[in-house]
Amino acid sequence: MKRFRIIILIMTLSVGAYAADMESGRKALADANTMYKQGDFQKALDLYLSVEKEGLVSGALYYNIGNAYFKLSNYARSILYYERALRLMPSDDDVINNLEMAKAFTVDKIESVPEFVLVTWFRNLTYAFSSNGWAVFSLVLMAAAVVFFLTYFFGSTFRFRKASFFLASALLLVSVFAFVLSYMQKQDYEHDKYAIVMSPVASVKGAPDQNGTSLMILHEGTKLQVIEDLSSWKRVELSDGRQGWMENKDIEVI
Amino acid sequence: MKYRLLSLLFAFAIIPVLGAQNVSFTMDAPAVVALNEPFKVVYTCDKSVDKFNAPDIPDFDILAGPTQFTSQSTSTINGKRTSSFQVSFTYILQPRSEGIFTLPKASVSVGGKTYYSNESKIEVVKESDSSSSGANSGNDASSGKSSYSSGPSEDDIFLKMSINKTSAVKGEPVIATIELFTKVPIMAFEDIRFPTFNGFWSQEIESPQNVNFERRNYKGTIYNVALLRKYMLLPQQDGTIEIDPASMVAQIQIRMSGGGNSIFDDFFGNYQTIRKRLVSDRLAVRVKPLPANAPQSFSGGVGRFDMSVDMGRDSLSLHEASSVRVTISGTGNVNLVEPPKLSFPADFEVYDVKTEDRTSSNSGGTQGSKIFEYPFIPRVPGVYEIPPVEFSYYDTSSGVYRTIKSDPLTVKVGGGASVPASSLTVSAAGKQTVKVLGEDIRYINVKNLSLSRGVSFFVASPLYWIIVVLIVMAGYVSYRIMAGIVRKRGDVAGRKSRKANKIAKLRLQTANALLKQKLYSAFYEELHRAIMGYVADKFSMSFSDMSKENISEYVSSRGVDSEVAERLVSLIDACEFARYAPEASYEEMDKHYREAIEIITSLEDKFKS
Repeated sequence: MKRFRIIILIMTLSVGAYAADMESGRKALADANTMYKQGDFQKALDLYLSVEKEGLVSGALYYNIGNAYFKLSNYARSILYYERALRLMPSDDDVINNLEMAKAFTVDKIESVPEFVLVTWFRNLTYAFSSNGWAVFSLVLMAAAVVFFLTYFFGSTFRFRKASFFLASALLLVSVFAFVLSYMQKQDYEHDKYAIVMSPVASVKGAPDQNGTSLMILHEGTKLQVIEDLSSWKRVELSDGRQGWMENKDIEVI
Repeated sequence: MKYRLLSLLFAFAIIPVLGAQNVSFTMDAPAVVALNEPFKVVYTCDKSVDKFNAPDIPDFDILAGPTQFTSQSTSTINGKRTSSFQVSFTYILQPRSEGIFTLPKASVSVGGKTYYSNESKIEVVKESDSSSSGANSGNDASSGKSSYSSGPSEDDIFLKMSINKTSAVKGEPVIATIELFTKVPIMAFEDIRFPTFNGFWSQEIESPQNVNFERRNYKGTIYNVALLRKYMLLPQQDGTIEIDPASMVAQIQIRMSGGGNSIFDDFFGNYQTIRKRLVSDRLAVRVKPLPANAPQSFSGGVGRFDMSVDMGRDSLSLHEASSVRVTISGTGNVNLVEPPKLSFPADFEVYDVKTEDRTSSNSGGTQGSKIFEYPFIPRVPGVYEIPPVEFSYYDTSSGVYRTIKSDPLTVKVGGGASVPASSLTVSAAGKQTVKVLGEDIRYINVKNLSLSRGVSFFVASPLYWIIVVLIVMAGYVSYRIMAGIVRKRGDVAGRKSRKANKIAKLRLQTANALLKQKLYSAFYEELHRAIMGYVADKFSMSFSDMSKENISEYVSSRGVDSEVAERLVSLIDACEFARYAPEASYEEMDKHYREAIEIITSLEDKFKS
């Protein structure tokens, strides 16, 4: 009994500490927003980064960091943070808009491999909501389907029961579909790694070796997919399908 | 006419008539003299002097003077007659000791008034080379005789370039002076090359047409010095900038000692002209870059500036051209100042900036003002505010950037005269497309302050599955609960009556078919049979026992409403009657059919099978 009480005490304390941490983070975030409002972008950025350093994240925080970097003309970093924001809120209109503007300042122009229109369409659908949005959506639909199954069983007229049955089945189907979309986003997040080139000029090598053949030169702000890690090197793929090795110091993972 | 005659008269007069006005009385003396060197001091007046009050000269020995000398000249150039008159009083003085002395002013009285001359400082230096200069009078270099037998040394004649500062910030004016120092007579110059000043924006401040020598003490020696050029240099790049040397070839007259020793040689001299190339030293200016924290409105102005903004009129009529004048004045690189940015309202038609340069360069850099005129034409009436004009410059004296900000300008644009339609493009209903003035990123998100520790996915998390199970369980539990309720309330009206109705319809199926075929007697026969059959089944009666009375009694005894029992009996009556009666209408048949269904349904409700 006593041990149980101690455990409860510890839990309360840790939750309290956690809440205090959050509160200071929120305060710093609000202060940073005020600094940004006053046009002191450097100070705002420092405050934002201090919040990020605490291990606290949110899409809005990343978006604001991206804006501060943009205002300080550090476009590669602003792209990095917009991409990070997009991972958390994939359908946010403001982030997409600002990312496009920041990308206008990058040097490399890479023709991405044309994609089948249905794939694009499906991905757009997948990222129309965040993973958590889809998950909640699927649960709500599931609950609705259960309610309609009940009205099917206990409905008074035949027509009402028939409608209930079809509605319940459709809802259940869409619920499963929403779950699949949500889960796919999770899979993407956990398995797909992307990176942004941070050095003004960086070379892509044919092998994870300083003396390797230089395949191409990339400039800051270019987005790459990370395929493989090997000590201080990363195997990357460009959106046009070309691959090569880059040093960790030249790129930063989103 | 009379006036001209008078002036003619004066011109021929030996003694000029003196006007009391504009009397010039000056003293002329060399700036530097050597010890034991006699020199000449001349007081000059351009009007006839009544009385000369000799100055008290305590620091010098007066060898001679004052000697009065009067000169007069009249000249006619292009029909214009000018005459000059001069009275001079000359002293020959000799210094007693080294040092800097002041020659006192003298005074003259002209026409009853007293005029004073200027004072002059004289530096007396110890001159080791007694042979140089001799009793030269003032500023005449060519009169100095040289006794050099060989070519002149580097100390006798050289070209000197000097700058007023060796380190400057970018854009700060540096003054470069090129002078010729000589102790020997110079006949002529050739091949003069001035530096190109790479890395600087350069401007000549002084470039005298005639080379005028003046005596100056340089490192304890008296030289005749002539200013050749003076430049203002504005460094355009950081780092150490080297200035190429200036060079020239001078023809120098030297006395030959090798010739005969006759008295004529001494008297006339045996001179020869030699050429000597003179090259100045290389100089370097260390240029510091401007500090990094330049304000946005900084456009390269270095020095000290002032700004005034003037808007001719603050009330304009529509389509009336006007302009804003921004005047930037001060010292520094004024001539290189760029027009400050002025943001006009979007409904103004703005034209190119006109620039007027009113600067003059001197040894302190460029001085003066630069006027920028921003012409505009308002195209839409209203009250507009032009935001403050900002101008930033780097203050060299305090080493910081300073920003001058004007007040905002307010312009009222009235309705004004109507303008021919051709000069304006007016779209229908006076609308115009929204002008894009600039692009910017969207503003930060200030509403969402929520933060989370790390990224977590809800989908397929334990919580998610728990909620799924809970939903399914809640559904199952509600199903069981509702099913239980339904079972407990077995006579739930709706469900029951639906079943009873079904049974009634089933029983009367054949009757219904006959009704639709309008088979009159067959219908009633079937209806009768069906009802009787139903009652027999329901109340476990045998057909033989079934008379109308029995049915009524029996049914009532089983708890059926007397009303329902009555209806049942009357329906049976009707059926029996119809079998022998002439044909009834379809409506009648339908009525009876419905009646039968209602009765059976209500009986079924009461006695659940």
